[in-house]
Amino acid sequence: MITADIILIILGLLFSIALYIIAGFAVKIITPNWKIVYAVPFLISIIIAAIYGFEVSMLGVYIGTAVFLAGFVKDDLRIRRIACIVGAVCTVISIPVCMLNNDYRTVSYVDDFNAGFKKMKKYYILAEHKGIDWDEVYNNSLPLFEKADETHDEVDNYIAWLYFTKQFRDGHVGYVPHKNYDDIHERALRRIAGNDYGLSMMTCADGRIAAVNVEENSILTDAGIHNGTIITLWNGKSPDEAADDSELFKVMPYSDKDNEAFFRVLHAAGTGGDTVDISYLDDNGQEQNITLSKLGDYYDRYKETYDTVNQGLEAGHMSWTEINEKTACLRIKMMQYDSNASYDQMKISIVSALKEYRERDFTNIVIDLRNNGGGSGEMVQVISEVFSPKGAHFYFTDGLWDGDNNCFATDPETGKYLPGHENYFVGDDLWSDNQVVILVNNDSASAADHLPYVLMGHEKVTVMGFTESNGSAQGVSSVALEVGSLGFSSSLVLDSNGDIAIDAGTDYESGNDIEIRVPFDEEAISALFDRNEDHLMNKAVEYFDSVK
Amino acid sequence: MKNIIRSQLFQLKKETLIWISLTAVSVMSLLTILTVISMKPGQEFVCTGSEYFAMGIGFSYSFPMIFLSIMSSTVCCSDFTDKTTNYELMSGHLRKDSYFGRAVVCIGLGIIGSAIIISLPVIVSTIVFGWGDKLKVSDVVMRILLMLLPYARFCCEMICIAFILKNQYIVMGFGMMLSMVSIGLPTFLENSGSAITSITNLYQLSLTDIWSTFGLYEANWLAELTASSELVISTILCSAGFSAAALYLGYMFFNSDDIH
Repeated sequence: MITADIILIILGLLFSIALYIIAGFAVKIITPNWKIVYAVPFLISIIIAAIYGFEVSMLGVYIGTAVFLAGFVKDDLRIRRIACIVGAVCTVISIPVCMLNNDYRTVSYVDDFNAGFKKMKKYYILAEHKGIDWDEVYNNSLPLFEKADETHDEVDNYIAWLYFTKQFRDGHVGYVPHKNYDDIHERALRRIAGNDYGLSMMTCADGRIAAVNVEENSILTDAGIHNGTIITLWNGKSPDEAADDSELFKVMPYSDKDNEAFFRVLHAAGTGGDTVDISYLDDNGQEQNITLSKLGDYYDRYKETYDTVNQGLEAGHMSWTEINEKTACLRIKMMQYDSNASYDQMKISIVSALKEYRERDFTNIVIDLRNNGGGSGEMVQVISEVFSPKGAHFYFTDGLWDGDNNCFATDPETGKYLPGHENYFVGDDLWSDNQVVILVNNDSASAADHLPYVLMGHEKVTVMGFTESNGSAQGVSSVALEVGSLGFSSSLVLDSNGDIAIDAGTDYESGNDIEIRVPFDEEAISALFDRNEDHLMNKAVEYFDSVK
Repeated sequence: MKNIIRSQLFQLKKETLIWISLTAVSVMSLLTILTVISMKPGQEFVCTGSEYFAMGIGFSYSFPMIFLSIMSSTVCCSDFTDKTTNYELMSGHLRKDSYFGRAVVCIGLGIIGSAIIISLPVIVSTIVFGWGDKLKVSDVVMRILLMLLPYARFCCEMICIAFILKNQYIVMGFGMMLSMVSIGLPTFLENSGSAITSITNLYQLSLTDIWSTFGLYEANWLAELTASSELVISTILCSAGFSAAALYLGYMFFNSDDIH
């Protein structure tokens, strides 16, 4: 029970005693002000209920304090004393009711889900594009929320939302609890991550599965398993098949099938029971078997591996880092600038830096967009102006808004969204004749999907990464529910053909490709996990050297 | 009771405080049109009637409560100060007539005043800028009518407090404090706006479901005034119940009150 309810019950009982005694005094000292005293418990009850919410289990207390009002209405000793006794009884009844009621002060997660689902079904703009079957999505998700309602577990609720949002394969569809997000998120993933057996796995460029992030000085290293060791079987299956057993994999919302394939077996390394049998190729190429015992939950290793592969340059947002005497890196962690400054100020800052680097004979710029979750389209436009050749360049087209029906207009015959205002920008070509590499990863999303898409066609710009960027480019809105907020794609971004820009359709292929897909191979594994190097940055520098 | 009502109405015609407060609060309410205009994206100096209700009613819904505080404190308390109530009772009027006569005047004029205050900005916006396309007229009218019930409830609660405290200015101040609380607290309290536990549930009734979309070039938004059956029923029942309870409690107090 919450403290406020306990206090109210205690106050109710104390008042019943006090008012019982006061009833006797009121007979001797006659003044109408005694009436007010009998109204006080009810007022306190209303105030506490207003602040902490009305709770059905506490009805006895509310009625008990209301019964005291009989003393306000009637100046009769007997009536007042009976009211005090009845009020005390009603208050006492509330105690076991509150303690035994499983629904005491609980929120209905099913109601919250229904409210969010209804809103999303009405306003989600990619339903047809992604071939969403709303009935199927609802029927798949509802049992999980019903389970969360039974357990009254906020983590179960969050996991249910993860399963729900995964079905859209849209990086913009997500749920955030109003309170304690980081804690709930970690507890949820930890619960479903599976077991840690001392290693993670990643798919190499040649299709083989390699061990990564191997526990040092363990049974694994004794058996000759190290970063880069090829794993052939996991728990009797190929690691690729084992990924289907991973609950964690079932909730991770990859927006592009290539990106999903890249990270798939990372989740498989958490599947298994108290032990898991794996087969691997030793350094002589011979297949070996080993049984591994679980060391704990897989979440920490999973997160460490993911963060290592997906690392960005450790630098401040919008800061410049000199990589070598010819290469500087602009780290853009989000598509937002200082809220007090206009983007003109940002452009001046970038141009000034470029001028300085040009004077110092720098020829290469890396724009690091890794783990950039997006933000402002205006910022994308301004950065694009700096690095695009002179002349007008197409950015994206807005959807045409139908003001009469309050929705985006569609072609009545084809059902396709109609294009609205076309957005262009004018290139300033302020880094002409010099090279630009844009680094992206799976977590480069939204406006960070836009920038590589817009700049990729230019001769001197190359987009590079292990994977494409996220593939979620539409505008996002969110609906506030009782327990959290549900965000989803709500505002159209169309390409020059009037089609949905970037976001994958039913083919699960996003429209954002990369020009150089850096192979995840032995060299990458060694750099990332043995030497803690930023392999992608190294590759960017190598690329610059190769095009000199 | 009819004579008491007539005398109260006659008195109110001469009571400048009531007219000044009604005018002042109405102007305050009208000024919230400018607030809505400043909130809108873009530089347009336009605020249609439907736009105002969708975005602006949340600013002005508590203003009628200021007027109701002044009205009820003036009608109910001022006659204690100059002993008018004493002379009424001495001349043979029943306490019931004295109490409910004043209550009827308060509630009647209070509802009319509240309707004027919350409708005025909507009407003026519509005359100047047109109705717009954000909300339907029928939805807005129904919502305004529904909002009159909590105002009546608040008026009854103030009448009860007025007959207990009997001091015009304390009651006025108390009422204004409650009106400020009803604006400020809901934004902080998770469970605010419940018809049962709030001062009124005007906060809940003032909420419009607004959905925004935005493009690279322009933003659009749409509004919905969805009144769930739960909201309507709880508003009606709680307003009626609390109004009746407040009037009853006030009367029971006054009935046995020694007013010297």
